[in-house]
Amino acid sequence: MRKFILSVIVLSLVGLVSPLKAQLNDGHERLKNHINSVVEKVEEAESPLHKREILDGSLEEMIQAIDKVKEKKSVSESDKKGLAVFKDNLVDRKNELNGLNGFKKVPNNQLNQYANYIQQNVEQADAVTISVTTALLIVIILLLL
Amino acid sequence: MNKIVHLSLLLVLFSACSTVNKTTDIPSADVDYTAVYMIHGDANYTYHEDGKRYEADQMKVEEAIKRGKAAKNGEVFIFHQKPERKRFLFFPGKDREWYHYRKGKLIGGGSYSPQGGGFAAEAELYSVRASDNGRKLLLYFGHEIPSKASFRYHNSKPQFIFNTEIFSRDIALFESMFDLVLLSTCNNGNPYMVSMLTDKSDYLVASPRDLHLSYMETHSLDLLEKKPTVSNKILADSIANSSFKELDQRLQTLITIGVYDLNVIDSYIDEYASGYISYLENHDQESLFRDNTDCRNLKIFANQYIPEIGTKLYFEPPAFGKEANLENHSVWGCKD
Repeated sequence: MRKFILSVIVLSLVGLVSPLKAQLNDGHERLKNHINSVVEKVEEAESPLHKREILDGSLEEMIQAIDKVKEKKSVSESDKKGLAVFKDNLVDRKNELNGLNGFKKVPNNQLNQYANYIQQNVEQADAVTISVTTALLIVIILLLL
Repeated sequence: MNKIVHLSLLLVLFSACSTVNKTTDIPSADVDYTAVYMIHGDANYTYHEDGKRYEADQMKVEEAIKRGKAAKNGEVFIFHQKPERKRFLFFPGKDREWYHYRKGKLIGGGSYSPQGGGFAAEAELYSVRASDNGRKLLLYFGHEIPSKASFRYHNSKPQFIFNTEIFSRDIALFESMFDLVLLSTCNNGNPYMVSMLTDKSDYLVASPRDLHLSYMETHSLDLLEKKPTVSNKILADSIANSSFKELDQRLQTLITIGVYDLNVIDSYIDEYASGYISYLENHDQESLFRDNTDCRNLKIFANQYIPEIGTKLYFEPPAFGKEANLENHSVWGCKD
């Protein structure tokens, strides 16, 4: 009888805990949170130079993280394709920020709007073109960089 | 004593798996319209605005409930397709939720499980409760409905297939003909989806390109309360116009919202849609949710653009990016 009650308690805990665990491990969620914290930092920064540095550094870090994730054998072929699309977008954003590769440089007085543009772009599609696990890998590597 | 304890514990275990349906008995009543909100939530729908986190599906459910309460002359069904989680490792959760408002009152609701990747479970609930008369509207909110079947759509049920073919097939389980279908999704204003809906609805509102997760609005359904004789054309245009204005105030990204008069489009779309379907069959799409391009940019339509008779597009180029200087866009979006 005691064993039965114990099993039920354990199962109940598994039932209660799994949704919470799923949320914490949601790579898409964490990636979006990461980008949001970058946008907040840009908006809080006082000088355009500082804003530009934050954006440039964050975009570079994300590009590097994607490159590292792409090298992992565990990443599926379809995710690699999704990562390539995601990376192309981030490279374009970095080039535009700095006025490279045919892009007009983002003016100093539009850096907050530009940060929002990047966030809106990623959130509406790019962040979900890759699997939850791959998104989580990007976030983990970002934390290690 | 032992038996009673066992029984109680089993009851606790299984209570998590039961469907709870609230249904108030009210006599069947004439309504001016029936609006079906289908809100997909079985994927990541988080977005941020001014640093604050929002869940697009939850926001839309709240808006739909408000509409349900305000629908004094109509009825509103809301299906929230939440992720299906297994409780206690084995038992299906019945995590999807439904609500049925008629004449402003909640007269039914509960939880349910999906039956496959389409709308079979939702249509079953609808068909025994919906009024026969009045206008019929289907309002879908979610990620892009894929043209192909090869992509996962429902995170918690990846084995369940969902695509344009299933969408257009399953909406007919609700009604053989709708007055208006709203696709608040990315990229579904494409020739294939439109051709599949010409015999399913009079009007379609959809975006040929990416659409932000803050979605299109449905406050315009208030027109059905204030002016019950409003035409489907004006209603569709009002939804598109006010959605465009709301999105344009907040977004830096490209906005494209199309209104499609499906009776007019029916006369020409099949020829172009079949060309596009052949193109898609040989097209390797890198990933799900890849943004469309204007169909005019595709080689297959270079010599003959898809006509735009019977359509209207609300368009604003993005503030940044390669398309920042785009002066116009057609109402047709295609994968490139």
